[in-house]
Amino acid sequence: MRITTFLMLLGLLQVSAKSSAQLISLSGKNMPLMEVLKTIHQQSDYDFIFMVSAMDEAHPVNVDFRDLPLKEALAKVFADQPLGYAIEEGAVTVWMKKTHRGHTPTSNSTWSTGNKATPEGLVLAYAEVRGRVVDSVGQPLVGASVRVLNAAGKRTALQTKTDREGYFELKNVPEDAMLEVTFIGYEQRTINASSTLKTVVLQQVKSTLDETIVQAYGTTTRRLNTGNIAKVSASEIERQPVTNPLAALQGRIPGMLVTQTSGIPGGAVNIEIRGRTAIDQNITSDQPLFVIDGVPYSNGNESLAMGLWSAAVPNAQVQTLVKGGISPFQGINPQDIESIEVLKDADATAIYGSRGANGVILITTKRGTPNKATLSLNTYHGVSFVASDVQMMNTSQYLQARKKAFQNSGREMTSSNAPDILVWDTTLNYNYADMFIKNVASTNNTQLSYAGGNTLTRFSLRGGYLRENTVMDTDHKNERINVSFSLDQKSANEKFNVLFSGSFGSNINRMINQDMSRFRILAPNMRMIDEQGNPIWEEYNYATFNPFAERLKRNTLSSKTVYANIQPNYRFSEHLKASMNVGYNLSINDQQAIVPVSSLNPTSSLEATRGQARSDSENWSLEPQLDYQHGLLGGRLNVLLGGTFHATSGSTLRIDASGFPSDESLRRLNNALNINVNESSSHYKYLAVFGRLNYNLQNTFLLNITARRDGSSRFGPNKRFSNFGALGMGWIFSNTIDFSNTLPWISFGKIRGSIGFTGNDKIPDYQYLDTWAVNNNFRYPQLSTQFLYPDKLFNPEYHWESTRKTEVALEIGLFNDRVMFSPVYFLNSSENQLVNYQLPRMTGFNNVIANLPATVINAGFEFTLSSSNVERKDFSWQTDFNLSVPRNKLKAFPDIENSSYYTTYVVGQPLNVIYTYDFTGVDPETGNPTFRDVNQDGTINTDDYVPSGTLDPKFYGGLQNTVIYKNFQLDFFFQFRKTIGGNYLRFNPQGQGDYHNWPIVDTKVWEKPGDIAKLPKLIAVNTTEHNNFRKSNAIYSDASYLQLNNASLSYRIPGAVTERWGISTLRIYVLGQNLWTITGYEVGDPTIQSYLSTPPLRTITGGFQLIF
Amino acid sequence: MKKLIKVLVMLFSVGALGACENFLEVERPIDKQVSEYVFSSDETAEAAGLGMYGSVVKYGQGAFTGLFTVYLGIVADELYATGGYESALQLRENRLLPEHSGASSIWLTSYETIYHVNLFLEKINRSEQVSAGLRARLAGEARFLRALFYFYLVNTYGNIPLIDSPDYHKNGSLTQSGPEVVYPFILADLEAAYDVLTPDYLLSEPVRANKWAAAALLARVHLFLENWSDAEKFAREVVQKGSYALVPVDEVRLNSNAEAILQFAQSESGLNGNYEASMLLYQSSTSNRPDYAVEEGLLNAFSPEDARQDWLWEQVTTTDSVTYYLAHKYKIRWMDRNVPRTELLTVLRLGEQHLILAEALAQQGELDGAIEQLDILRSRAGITLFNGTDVTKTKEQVLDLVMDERQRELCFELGHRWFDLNRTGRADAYFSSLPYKDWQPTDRYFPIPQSEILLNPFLKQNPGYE
Repeated sequence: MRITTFLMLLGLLQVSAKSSAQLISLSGKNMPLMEVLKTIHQQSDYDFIFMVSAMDEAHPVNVDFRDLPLKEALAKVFADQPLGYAIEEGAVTVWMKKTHRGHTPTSNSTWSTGNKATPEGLVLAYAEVRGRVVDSVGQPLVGASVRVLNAAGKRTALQTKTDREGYFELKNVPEDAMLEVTFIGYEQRTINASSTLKTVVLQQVKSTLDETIVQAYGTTTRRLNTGNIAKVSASEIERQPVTNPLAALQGRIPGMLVTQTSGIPGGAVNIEIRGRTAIDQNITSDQPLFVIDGVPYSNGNESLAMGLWSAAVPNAQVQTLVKGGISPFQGINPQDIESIEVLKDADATAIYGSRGANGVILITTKRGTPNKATLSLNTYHGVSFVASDVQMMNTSQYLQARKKAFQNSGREMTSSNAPDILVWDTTLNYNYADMFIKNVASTNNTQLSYAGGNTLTRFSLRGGYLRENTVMDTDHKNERINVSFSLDQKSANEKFNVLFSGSFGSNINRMINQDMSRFRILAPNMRMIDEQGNPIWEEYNYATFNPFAERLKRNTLSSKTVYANIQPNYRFSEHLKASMNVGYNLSINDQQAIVPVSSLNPTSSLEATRGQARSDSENWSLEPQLDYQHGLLGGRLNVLLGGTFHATSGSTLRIDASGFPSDESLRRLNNALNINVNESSSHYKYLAVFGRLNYNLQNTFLLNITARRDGSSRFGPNKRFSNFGALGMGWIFSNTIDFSNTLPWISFGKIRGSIGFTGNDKIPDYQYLDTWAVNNNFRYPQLSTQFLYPDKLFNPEYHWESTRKTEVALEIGLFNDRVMFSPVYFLNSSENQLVNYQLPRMTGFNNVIANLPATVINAGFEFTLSSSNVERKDFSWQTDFNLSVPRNKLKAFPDIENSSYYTTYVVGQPLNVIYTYDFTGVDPETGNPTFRDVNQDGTINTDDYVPSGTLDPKFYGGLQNTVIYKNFQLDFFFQFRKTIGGNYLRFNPQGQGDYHNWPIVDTKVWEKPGDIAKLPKLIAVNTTEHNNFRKSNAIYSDASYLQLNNASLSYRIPGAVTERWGISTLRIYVLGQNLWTITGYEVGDPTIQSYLSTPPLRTITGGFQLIF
Repeated sequence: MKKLIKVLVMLFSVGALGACENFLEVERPIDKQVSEYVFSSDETAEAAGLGMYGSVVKYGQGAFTGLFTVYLGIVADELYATGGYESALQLRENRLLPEHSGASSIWLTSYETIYHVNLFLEKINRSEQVSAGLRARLAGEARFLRALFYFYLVNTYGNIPLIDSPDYHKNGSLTQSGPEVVYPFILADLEAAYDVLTPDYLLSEPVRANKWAAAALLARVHLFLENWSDAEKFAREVVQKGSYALVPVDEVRLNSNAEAILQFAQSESGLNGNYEASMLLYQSSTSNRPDYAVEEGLLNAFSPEDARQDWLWEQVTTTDSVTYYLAHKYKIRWMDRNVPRTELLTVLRLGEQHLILAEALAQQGELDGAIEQLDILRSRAGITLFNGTDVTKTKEQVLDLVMDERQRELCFELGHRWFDLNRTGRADAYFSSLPYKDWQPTDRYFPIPQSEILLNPFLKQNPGYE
């Protein structure tokens, strides 16, 4: 076991902890407390801060102990005292237990500060300053530091910290001194020292630098963070009328590509952080790890659908292009989210080990705020519709083109190959695109929450209802109900704290069987409905299937998600905290696909069927942690040790029932004549121990070391464990270098960098096992023996893949941090990738899981710029910009010539390389496409099929503007992407042998000899040239776009007005999503690059938020 | 305090250490069995062996579940696709592109079964817990199936990778072998099967290979190799020693009919019919246009009194008022649940053995013997016997008669016509004479699927398709 090395590291930490933990020896009877403290000061070097009057109240002490740690020594000394104390970094504060609230110390009471400057350790002085530090809502700030500045404004050694209720008291303060009050995350204040000082209010900083950001197992600030963590806050999410939290991230995180796969409600949202690493996206997931409130979200971003989606689509007629399925995040309400943090580099993600290889997305839900119970109602209603239109040919254009195709190919038209021309009514003209996706869909979303608490208890209760339907058919809808709560309870002494949170979400998606957009390609004079709109079947010869009848089929996916977390923690001292994250989540998905006889061709003998599938996935995880903090060598050391035990078990049950006597009988499975049951299960376990050591030297030098050992059941018995780790460093040079004379506008500067290794085990379970499966569909009637077949090729030897991540970044704050600029360079290198190694089918299967000896590089620059352009009382304007310039490269692939990847990937080129023939135009005489003869051998063959570019974006990013004027707030967000993509030609490369409609384009098509045309002639009989055209670069074109992705305008009714109604806040707003796109992309939406899928919808909503 | 830390750290580390080994043990999936278990007993080994037959039909529309009969029927002159789609026209006009999905499907589904067979052979030969008798018999069946697939593949694609182990490392980059290498391999498999298999059937239906199945296929292979005497020997053995008898023409489709030597059960539990029939018969309703109809040339090959016209069926569609003739050797569509399971897909039957015998005898100059064999089938078909017509014929004329009889007798049965025209060298002249064909001599073989060449650079495309 390599785990021993990890234990040795623990041992070392123990030693260093020991050297700073002081041992005290003391013995005596009836010793004055003052004497005792003086002795402890001498032995321990700890300073004592107390009010002299407190000593008057103190009892004499009887003690006798030897070599006791400071903490225990103090516990004995203060056992019976009417005094409280707290051990802080290098100092112990002592106070009278009854003194604080409502009881002012008497005038003769004095304070004493012991410090190293005075050998006695105790200094008596007579000038005192006391006060209380609170935040803008009056909450005490505990542990804020109050430092005395001399008249010249220089810091003195005299300082203290606020206690548990925000009080501080200082003595020995010169008359003309000033106090500097600082607290992380709050604006620093300098005030005149005065004995009459009452309350110091610190405002939360506007600087994003000191904003709290959630990191792995804790929080940090942008200032002190050594890794790459990007944050999207609740306010940014709330402004978007999206129902999926992931969709709200679109364009907002540098280095992260968010792609909505379709405009179907509940549709999956694809996420890619820092480029494509997976050579094989079918087997290893490129999706990041999702962590909700500290507990990994087991579903990840794998879409929900259990194989019942496929209706009997005739392949020849319609190409299947619908991707995705239902997003697992559909059950989570975006409005419940406090923040989403995206962890990208090794330093930020390494502690998640293998699970974090593709990045980590931390979702933190909203909590209550103490002393401020609020009831809040937020509701919006709106409409969605298809924004980008694709004009298909009408019947006369279509028939003309079809005839031309037959003529060009010299093929005779017959009733079987050209019924659209010869048999069908050519005066009919259906606009199928309009019929299928031109409805206006509606969205209704209402949220209610009640949250509040006191200093010890915080709670939050939230509930919501969402309803949306589709542009395809407004009867089909998606509904969501979700309820969540959180409870945060502290013990009276604040040592023990437990957070309990849970959520229940139910999503019912009653969707149309398929994406109807694909039926745009039906011939416009093909009759599929009668005058009453009922499906008819004569012309559309696919006897079992008619798009209009699809509406009668019912496909319901109901998913229920429960998650619950309990996170108790106990603070042994200010140095040591133990905590335990216990998380549980359960997801139950039921899918039902009903095909009634009424949806089938009445002349067919096919029967009503019902498919029923259920998949359960249950997860638990247990993460014990120890957190140790201590001063060390003038800095601050923080050590986190922890472990993860994670188990997932899933089961699926699928029932295919057929032979129902009537549609009515479909309601009950028992009525089926024939029932096929298929049950499967999977189990996954994961184990890890991890440690993180963080050292912060005077907020200037930052060091973060992470080490981890992971085990996963997805590997064969001898390949299960692997070690990962990372090193992150930061130097806040603006604290070291004084720019005040040279570059006074620089207010902050940090260089940070990280390097580390992570792995990946995101492959299906059990692939290392040599297994045989039961052929359920096949059985001799008279034989009970099951039929077994090998279900895959197996490989017991595959092991963890590893990714090396490096990053360097500069973070610059200008003009008092009003402008923040950060360029980042990253270089990730993935090795030993797990792939479903593609094999020719002659091996029996088309793939086997294996580690590929290839190296994939993802590198790139990311820039973020945020600027507070105007900041006045009634007017402010904030701009945030991000830009990513990624680069992906297959760096090495030994022996690629002899591998099955030889014609898929090219060393030195991106993974998303495209192979094409190079289309060089249309031969004016023949109308045939011509291609570049790459190897100049006189013929065009597979040797001329060469790599030519990539589908990876060249750059992408987003631009957010927030303008606040008085009670108005306007936000608008642009996203942009520079890329090439597949165009309309890939669906219809001028071959018109079959009766498919196609879009109208302006491009000149060859018609007769002598034509100088952009597109080759239409043909009815496929030729090699046209076949090559389909595989040429002509089917790719620029798909760049600039999109006004989101805009929102809100107005807050003035408080003076609402207070009369007993309302603290009333805000009304209008939101718009996917509002405007500038693109040169022809035919369809550049974001999905297919006119056969319903594109992301344009949504406009209006609503209000009411807070009592 | 320090002690507490120590204890906590110790507990944590020890816990983690101890848990490492055991924690990661997970339950096996319920829907799968591991290999060691499968080959640990007679019963489970038999299940894996039976599974080979299941593999043949696993996905429907595989090589033996419709594709050979339909696609080879179209590239020859038996069938055409009524829809006039480009992919079907490529078949009918013999201008296949290497991307043709139908041509690829035959390859893909065949090699999947071959993998199953190879894996099974490797495992069964090492499985000491399985009784020796069963091991030998199952291995014999496996080798028979492998020979059957290779026979069809070598005749469909010409040069094919000859895979005899489940080792995908090796197989993924294998080169092709020509017929001169593949045929001896087929013969070796068949002879081994012939040696170990017994004449009885292990199930109530002839759905597992027995000795006579091996002999019948041996007869066919030798015929293709023009080893006339061997072809004669094995065909005669089946005819004489096997307890088979010709049945009326409308019964050749029935399960366990007396003529059947090997049939493949295709039904899912509870369903009747077979996948092939579902492709060939009317599309869901007799009023709709069928997908495939019989070519005129084949319709004309039957004389009016020929009882085998039972295998054709005239359908007048109501939707476009066109008359189509359907291949009607099987009468029951797959999915006809309410009809008792009565039909199985026939792979080998006695009728073919008489034809093999006739051809082998004719080739060896025994023209009377050949005519006698043809008359056995003509008699069943209820048409005039040659013997009675007292015509003296040359060897070539008799061979032509054999070929004509084969066209009628073996129509819609896994592509006999296509193979016959090609192996006898008649294809070039005959297909060139058909006006709708765009015939090149290289069309004899299908293209190697383009996707396979992309994945295995050692594969070479067949001539005419580069």
